[in-house]
Amino acid sequence: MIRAISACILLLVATPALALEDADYAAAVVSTAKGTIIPGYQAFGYTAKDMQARLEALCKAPADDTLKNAQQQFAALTTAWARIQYISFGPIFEHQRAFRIEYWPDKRNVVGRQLAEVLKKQEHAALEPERFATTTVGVQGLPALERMLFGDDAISELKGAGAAFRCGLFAAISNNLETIARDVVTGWTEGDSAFLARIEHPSEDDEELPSGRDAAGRLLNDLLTATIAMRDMKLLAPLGTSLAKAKGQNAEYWRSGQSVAVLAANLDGWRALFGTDQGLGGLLAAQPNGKPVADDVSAAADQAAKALAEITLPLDKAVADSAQRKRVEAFAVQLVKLRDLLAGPVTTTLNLPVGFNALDGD
Amino acid sequence: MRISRRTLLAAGTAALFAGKPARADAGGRYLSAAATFAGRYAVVAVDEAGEIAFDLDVADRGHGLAVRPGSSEAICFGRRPGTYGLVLDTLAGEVVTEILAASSRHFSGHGLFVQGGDLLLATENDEVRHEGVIGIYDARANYKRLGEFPTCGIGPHDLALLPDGKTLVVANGGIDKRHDDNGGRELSDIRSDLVYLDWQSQRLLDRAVLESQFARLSIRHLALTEAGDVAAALQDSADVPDLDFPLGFLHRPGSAPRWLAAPDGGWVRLRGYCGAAAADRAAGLVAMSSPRGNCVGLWDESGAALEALAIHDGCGLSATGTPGELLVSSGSGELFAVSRAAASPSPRGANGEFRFDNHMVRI
Repeated sequence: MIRAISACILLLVATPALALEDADYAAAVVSTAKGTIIPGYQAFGYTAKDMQARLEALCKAPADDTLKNAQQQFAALTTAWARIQYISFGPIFEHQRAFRIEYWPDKRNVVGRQLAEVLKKQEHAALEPERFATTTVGVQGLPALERMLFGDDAISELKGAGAAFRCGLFAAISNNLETIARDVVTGWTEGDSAFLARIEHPSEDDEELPSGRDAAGRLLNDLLTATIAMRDMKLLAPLGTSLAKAKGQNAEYWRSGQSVAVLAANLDGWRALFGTDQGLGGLLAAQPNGKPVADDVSAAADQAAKALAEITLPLDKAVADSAQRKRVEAFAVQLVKLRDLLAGPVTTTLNLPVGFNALDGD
Repeated sequence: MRISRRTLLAAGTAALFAGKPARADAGGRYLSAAATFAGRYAVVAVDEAGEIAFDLDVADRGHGLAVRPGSSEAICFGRRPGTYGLVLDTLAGEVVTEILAASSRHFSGHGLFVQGGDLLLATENDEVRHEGVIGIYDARANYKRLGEFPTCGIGPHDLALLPDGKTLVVANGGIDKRHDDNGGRELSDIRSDLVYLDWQSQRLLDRAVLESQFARLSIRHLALTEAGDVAAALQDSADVPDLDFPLGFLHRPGSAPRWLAAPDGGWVRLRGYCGAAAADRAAGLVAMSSPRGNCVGLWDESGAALEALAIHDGCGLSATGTPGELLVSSGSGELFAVSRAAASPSPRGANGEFRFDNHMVRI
């Protein structure tokens, strides 16, 4: 059986129609993992650790300056996450980690309800790390932290009767985020079944990643998803169908005013994840007729960044402002261009099946 | 390990993410398995404008759906190898009950109701004997499993009920968990066929196989035409498909399969993979989708190719209340209308939260 499969693989590699070899795909994903994905999780972990220190300082002396310090660190945390937010494969997919970091969109106010309940119960034992990691997802991550740091009562609540519990919750969330980041990095790098090693040495026995091409397909699919999700979830949802029907509170992080900065980090992260000299971008440029396609992607990403920079108000306000609204729409158009390049010429040139249904059929 | 995704979802999903209440009006709605862009799995009801009417979380990726005649119930099966069948009330947008796969059986992702909605038949795999079976469930008794009978083949997938109400046609895909577990496939071992079974007597009535050169094609999805043919949509099971292989045929018992004509541009447009099939019986149309070829093909009931329309990652297909117009759902969460007359698909809307999975049924 094994020999028969091996023979089949040899045949595949020898097929002249396939210019790309499986090792090329694996190498591209490995370089992106080493250069961008894993460092991205590490950076998020460090930022969460610093968040912990600033939250402690805030709890010790609740005042405008300590609050501002904590809020600034929260901003850094959201952008650190945004750079690798759209990676859906690997250890981040396990144990609901991505949802625990950021449960969003939250159309049913899950975070608000769950946070209110936890704050009302004041059960200190629930904040113990092992238990906290299995508690309701809404209170575990960034949206809960945002509500506590950016509410009008952020300081006064830290001087009241519930202050000790609130500070305990701060510590639990920041510690939880750091732990998730550390576990994800560990999952990528350590042990016999390290995710990175699995990509480096694909095996037919590995159901999830039987080949380098599968890994490359996952990465490209996530990059494609990012262009769709940024537009549909982050832009179209707050834009609504008209100026009168704008729904600013559908913007991500509208409470902290981080919506545009996070999109910039998404886009910045996207470019790094795609890669220019290395990664999928590098692989693309090295293909016959691939260079012009790679240049098109690069130009489209430049255009998107430029369009985003034109948005000078937080998204929740921009969508309700007739002039700024047009800039949000213009940015959305650029994301579609990026999407179409990926779904079309990039996919074809790299010979990768991409799409939710296309990738994983039944 | 703190929480496994599956156990957490199974234990507490309903409490964590309570479903959005259903709207009062229920016209022109479709049910589809779906996933959020962040990767949470659900069953969703969507209207023709692409608006989500309600959504219910499920533990694992869903696949095919069936509507129970004479009631507001429908079922969504877990994707092969599926562990669950989620029965829901499509008016209330609520879970009715959940069927779990019997011991050493898993669901293949499709099922249908017979006997006026009294019984549910589901394609399943016997993991011990590596044979396909049809599981029988009593919808009147909380979907109690009554028994099973063989599909006389390997890896059954989609199924359909002929108008006589007793002849079941089943696509034995020829591929089962052993092939999946091996990653690569032993092509010589693929044995796909189309079987006709009398579900009452549980006897094999007829079997259609493909010519030997196409033996590795897997027959997977079915639709019934007004003329009385079974339209079958195929997938090339090879790792590197032969892009010129035909991927659809028409068949009726006692005769040989008749290949559909290649679409404009050739079968290569479907990239060796059809994801779903549907018939618009009122207009005499057959549709097959290829998410890999980013294209949906239309044929008439004689098998003549009409249009092949470009839709990115389009897969779910359903006839609508308007003869001649079919609805296509995509992995990007968009809905499109396609018709014989139109030169291009007409976008109906995007919901921004859910990607639509393989199949969609009208409720």
